[in-house]
Amino acid sequence: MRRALSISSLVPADVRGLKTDSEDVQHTSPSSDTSVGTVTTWVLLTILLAGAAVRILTIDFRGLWIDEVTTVWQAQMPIGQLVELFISGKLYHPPLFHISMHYWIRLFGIGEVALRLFAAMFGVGSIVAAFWAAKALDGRRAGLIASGIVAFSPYLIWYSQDARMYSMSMFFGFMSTGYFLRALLNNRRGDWVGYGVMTALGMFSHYTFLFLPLGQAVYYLWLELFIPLRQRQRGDNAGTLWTRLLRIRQDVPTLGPWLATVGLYSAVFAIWFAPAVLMPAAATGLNSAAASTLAPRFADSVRIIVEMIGGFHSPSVISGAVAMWPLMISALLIGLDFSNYFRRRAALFITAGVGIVLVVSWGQWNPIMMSSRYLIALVAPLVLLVAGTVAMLPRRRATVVLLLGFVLSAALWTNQTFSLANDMRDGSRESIAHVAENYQTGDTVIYQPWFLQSLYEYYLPADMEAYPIPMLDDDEKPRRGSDELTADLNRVVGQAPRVWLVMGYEDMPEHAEISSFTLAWLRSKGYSPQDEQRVGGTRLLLLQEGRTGALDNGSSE
Amino acid sequence: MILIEHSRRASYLRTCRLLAVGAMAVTAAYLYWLLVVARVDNVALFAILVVAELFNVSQALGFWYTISIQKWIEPESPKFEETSETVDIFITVCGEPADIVGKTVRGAVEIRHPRASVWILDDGPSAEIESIAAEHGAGYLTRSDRQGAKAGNINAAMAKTTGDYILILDADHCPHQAFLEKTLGAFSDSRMAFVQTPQVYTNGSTNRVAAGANCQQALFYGPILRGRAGGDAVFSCGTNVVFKRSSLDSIGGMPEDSITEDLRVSLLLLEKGYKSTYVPTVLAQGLGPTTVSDYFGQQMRWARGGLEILLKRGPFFRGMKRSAVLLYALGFQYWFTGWAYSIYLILPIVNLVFGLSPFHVPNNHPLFFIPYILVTFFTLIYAADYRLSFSAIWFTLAAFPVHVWSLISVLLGKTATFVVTPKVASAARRRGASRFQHVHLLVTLVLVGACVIGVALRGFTPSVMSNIAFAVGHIIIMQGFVRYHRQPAMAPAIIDERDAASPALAPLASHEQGVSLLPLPLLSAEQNEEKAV
Repeated sequence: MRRALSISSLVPADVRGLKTDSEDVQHTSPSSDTSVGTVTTWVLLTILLAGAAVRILTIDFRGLWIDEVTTVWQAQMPIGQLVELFISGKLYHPPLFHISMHYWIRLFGIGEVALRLFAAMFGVGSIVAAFWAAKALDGRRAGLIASGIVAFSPYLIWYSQDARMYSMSMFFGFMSTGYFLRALLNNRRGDWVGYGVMTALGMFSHYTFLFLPLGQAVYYLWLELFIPLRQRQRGDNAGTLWTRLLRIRQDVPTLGPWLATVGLYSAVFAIWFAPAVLMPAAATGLNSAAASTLAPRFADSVRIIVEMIGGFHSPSVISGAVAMWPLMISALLIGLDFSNYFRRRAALFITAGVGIVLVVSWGQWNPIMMSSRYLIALVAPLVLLVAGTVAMLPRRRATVVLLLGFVLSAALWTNQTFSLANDMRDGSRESIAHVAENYQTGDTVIYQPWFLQSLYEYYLPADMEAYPIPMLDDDEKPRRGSDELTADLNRVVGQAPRVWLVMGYEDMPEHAEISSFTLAWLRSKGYSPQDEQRVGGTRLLLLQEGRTGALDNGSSE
Repeated sequence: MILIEHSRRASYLRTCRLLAVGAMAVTAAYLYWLLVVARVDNVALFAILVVAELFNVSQALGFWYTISIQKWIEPESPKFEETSETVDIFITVCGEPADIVGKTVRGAVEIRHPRASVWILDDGPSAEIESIAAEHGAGYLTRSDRQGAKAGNINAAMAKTTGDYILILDADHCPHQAFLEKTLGAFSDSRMAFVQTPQVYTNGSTNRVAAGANCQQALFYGPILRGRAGGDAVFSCGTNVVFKRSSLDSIGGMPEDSITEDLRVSLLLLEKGYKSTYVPTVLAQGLGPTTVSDYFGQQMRWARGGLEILLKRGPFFRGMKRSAVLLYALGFQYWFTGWAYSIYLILPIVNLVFGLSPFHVPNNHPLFFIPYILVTFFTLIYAADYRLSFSAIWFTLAAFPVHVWSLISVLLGKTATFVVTPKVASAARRRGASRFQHVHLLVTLVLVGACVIGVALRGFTPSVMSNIAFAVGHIIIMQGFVRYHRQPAMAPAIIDERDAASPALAPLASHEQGVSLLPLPLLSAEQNEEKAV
């Protein structure tokens, strides 16, 4: 009988069936196996509870940011209207998250905690999914390490507390990766079905999930199909090209199921993908003008890696960490010594590598893509690689590495969660609360950027009004001091005795310019700064008409 | 050992050449940025940085040239029954353990050749070694003094023997039966003086030091010597080499005026109009250094010998082929690597402590630097057929005090002595040769101190963080040697036994360590457990 040619087939028959469900990787007696299994279960349970506690107990420590509120308004739409938005391509996100949130909101409401619990649920689920996937490849020890990384990574905690689709995407990333590895090793129908379903769900959770199956496909075509076939051709040239082509399926037994699975989830995805690619933004980039130089994008590329390792911090911390790029070269060199390890896990390495290269490349063209959250589906292969590497180390060294990692993560998480100085914490909720607390009848509240409008609508008390400073004119071109902007300000400010000027996103030049222009305009109208506060990424200024400002030393400029 | 199967050689060489061209392009872009675009900050620092960078670039260019002219020499096996040449097999011994010598003698007497005589050249001398010779039917030669070290030992033996060809084996290099069949064919060229073959270490997985030394050797005996063969610049490496006696006679025997008599004899023979070649087939297995001090001792001898020849013996001569001039110059230049690395060590320290930089670092600096570094490394990795470990680079850089001290001692005219690389670990030797480890410890402490001072003076600014990152990279290189010196029982290197499989030389394949970067099949948890170290 012809020996199957797939690389997976090199796995000897006695171990082809993965023993992940019932057996440990160690050859131990049944009683010790049970005891190891019990310990594993308890450790996993502890990690799970700790991970859940960290996510839930601090779930509302930061206010919602604009995208989360947008989710609320979109998901509250009648389901028919929502579906129409998707079909028309006006809402370019895949629909799974929004439709799920629609029913979630109907059940639990739109409170901060309720909204974020949906994401936290997938975040906690990812802890178990990571254990399951890592255990399949590297055993229980790696499984526990993977679950620990997911449970305590500041970056992953952040997105488990974000009322968006990212934790959902991560969860399906782990499930898809786990099933993919199992399917290649076992070639069982159940695993292929699981892989197809999880990948399809993942692709409907966020469009960047697409990079994960793309990486998997590159791995499959190269290492499971092309190289074995080439080796076969070298060793056996019998038959015509046609007969050799017909033999491929026999030579590579996973080819049929793989093609069927990929075909299935691609077909399902195409339903949404077709209108999505017709969107103008898909062809031109959302802000192609900003992608003119590569230099800032390099820093962004490093930043997303820094964020994935250490979570979110103030720009000064991030820029310091980005400046440590030479460490990447050291890591690369040291990685050579682990090359045996990496090449045995080519499925993970290639999947993650191809995905990251695609996201970063896309980011060169379309700057909005340069965000670490768009790599969230690729967290799965990366975590499995790290977990497997640490699990491979001698026990004492692994313990030291894990302890150091845990302490560092705890420190970074503390800074991320409790430091209001962290600009990644938008500060809008606290700013609006401050304004509401100190608001006097007749005050005018103006804020920028304009797109925070839905956030103000969410947090602002019903009896108060706030006005965005519009940045864009009808042609979506920045006004930047145009007559229209002056007219808008005249209309909004009127004769108000006090003006609250709330300024966010000042790290972006276009918004800083508007802030500066508005402040200058208010000064020209006789308003002087009386109080200034900074809350997270938001600057809050109280100006009063006709009085010498308490802050008139120029500090507010 | 980096062997390339016959079927892959054409595509491998083509890719090496393509990569070399690509690497030159990104290097040119980086040099353009450094020399034209960069805004100089501190002139002195910029000047020494440029010197170091130009040194590295010239080394890289030399390497790319070398890998582009690789040549595989596989001489046809002569029919010994139809020829009449005689061969002396010299096993040089100088205090090596009897069991190691015994294995080598046993291997030597089994070499297939009807007119080969095995001689033990014992500079010990030792009754035990003499009995081993008698046991295996080998000749035993010794002398009253150790004049001329290994070269003197060989010359003394040449005076007492008459073979047309001389195969030289170190005491620990056990030869394969086919040694002469695979090499003597090269002497069909009447101008051929010697044929060198690879040195591989069987103890390459003993510990990190052995693995590192082994990796360095693999690169040298792989693409580098194959390239030197293409450029007619192969030099003798002292063991696993076959000389034509008449060629040695023509220069008065092995030169005794250098501690690297192998390099010296190669140049003298080249000057006499002789040729040399390299057969990239593993035909003997030896033992490499297993302790830091042994490794540094070996490096010290090579560096001092090489630099002495460069500075005092006039290695270049009129009529030398251009490719040979270039390749020998590159070989000598290697021993200055430590000076270039010292500059890279100094720069972050100066920045962190005094706030001085060679140039203003704009955002786009990594865009020029990273492609240059990555493509350079990738070319190195590819040329090594994806079998390169961090150790190979690490050991080269960490040997910087050896390189620095070698040049100083040569310039000061300090007397060098021939030291045999010990074949067994010795605690006394570890203690005795620890001065270089003290340098590593000191540099580590200075780097850590500079990081602390940098943060204390200027806080966590991007500039400080970037220099801390460079400092950490250096600390990673230093700390291993500090630890390994203090802790002789080192962790085994990560070695893939599967890489040992070599269709070219199956009986000898078990020694072939190396870490291939090519992807391997997906394995289950059980198999990964088995493979994990």
